[in-house]
Amino acid sequence: MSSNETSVIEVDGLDVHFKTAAGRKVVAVDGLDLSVKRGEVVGFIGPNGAGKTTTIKVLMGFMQPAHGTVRLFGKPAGSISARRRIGYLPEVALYYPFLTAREALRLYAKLTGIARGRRESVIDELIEQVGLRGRDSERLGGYSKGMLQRIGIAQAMMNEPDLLILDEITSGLDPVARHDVRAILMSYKEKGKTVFFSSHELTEVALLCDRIILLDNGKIIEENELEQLLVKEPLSLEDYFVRKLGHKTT
Amino acid sequence: MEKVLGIAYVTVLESFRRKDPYVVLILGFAIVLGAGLFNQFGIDGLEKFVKDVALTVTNLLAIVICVVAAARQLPAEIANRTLYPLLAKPVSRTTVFFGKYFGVGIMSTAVVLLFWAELQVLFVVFGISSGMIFLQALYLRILSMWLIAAFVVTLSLFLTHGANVTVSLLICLAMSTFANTILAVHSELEGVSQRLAEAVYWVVPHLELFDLSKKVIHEWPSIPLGALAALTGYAAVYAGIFIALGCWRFRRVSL
Repeated sequence: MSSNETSVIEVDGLDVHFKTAAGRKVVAVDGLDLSVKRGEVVGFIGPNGAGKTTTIKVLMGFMQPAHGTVRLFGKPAGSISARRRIGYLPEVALYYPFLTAREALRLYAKLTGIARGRRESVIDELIEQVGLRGRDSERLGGYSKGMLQRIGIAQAMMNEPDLLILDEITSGLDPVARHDVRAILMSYKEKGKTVFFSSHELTEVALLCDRIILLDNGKIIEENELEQLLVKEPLSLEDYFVRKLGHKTT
Repeated sequence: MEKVLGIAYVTVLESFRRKDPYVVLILGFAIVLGAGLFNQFGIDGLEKFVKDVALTVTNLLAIVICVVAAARQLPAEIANRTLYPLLAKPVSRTTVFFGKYFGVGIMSTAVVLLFWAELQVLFVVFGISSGMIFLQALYLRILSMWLIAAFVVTLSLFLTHGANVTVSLLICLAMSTFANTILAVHSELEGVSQRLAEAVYWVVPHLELFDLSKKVIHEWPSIPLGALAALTGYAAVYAGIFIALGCWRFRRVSL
């Protein structure tokens, strides 16, 4: 296996800047270096405004960095060959409200490049997996936030990508749905696929991750295997998170 | 191409499920029917009036539908974040741009065809003759919709939604008089003003060339096929320039 194949995500010296409406420069990501290996489940955590979503947008090629290199499967971020192997769930899942769930998944299947003959069976399987059987002919405009998140997960998992990039995966999901999503991700992990996800739900992170990357003000302030971290810091992940960010534990 | 058509299909579906075209079709039908009733009162010479009202109203409404739909596409995708799952798939931004452009083009073509089917029915009902020029006018109207869609979708990446709709509608609706005005005042101008008038004349889309309404109203014979071919070429080149500019811009937009 080549080193490029071992490292699924390679970020080197990533800087991302914004300009506010007043023309002030804001540093969203500051000299970020990170690497995710094949088969790892990595939790990308941090407070609001830490730079998690910005980093993920750069990984997907939605934004261009000011400096630094970002490669996925050895290819530049945003390249079509890299995106062929990625499933992505955006932070706020919004899908065409005028389409039914099946129509939306049909569009994503087409764009993913799934052969016409296989599309309906792939869609059936995904609908079953995310627990939307019987609701797939309803328009997405009538879906709850949790149901939309399930559609988002379904489209992300289309064609079993080698890497899942999930921004706030359990956002808007009820406990049962969270359990289902966790089960889906665990099955992904067992298949040796790579998952990189951001979350505010530290329970989720503790249950799923091999490794966490804690980000604050665009910089990594902690990167460690979860097991080692919990041995080193005998606290709950939430207490640890609060302490690391400079607040008192309760 | 399947990916472009997939995005185009969703764009067409959105317009029809939002019911925008139906509202305008019903409105257009009511106005045209109202004009047509004049003809039934036995007033001589009103045939031309009916045709004029019918063609003006349907052309105007088709342009409004096209401009509004084209201006909405990419900004709405960006604002609603529906673009993220699309661009996360192995598709280029150029594919998405073409999908949106084709969607607006197909939807506008469908609207023009429906309008003109309405007109044809009314002409038959009221005993008004049309002829070959009517079909040529239909072809050029459809062609102009694709041209309008190209520059409005592209402008949507440079201007705010409101500004784009206003500027585009002004260009579309004012061109019939604007182009002739530039020609008329050109010889009166000097120096920089003259150069400016020439630049404007060459830059703005000459949509007035695609309007055969007056010829339909006065029952002119059909225009030479060479003229149709030249206009097709003009539309293709003009739309091509705008599409290239739009794709270039869209590839650089930070999402």
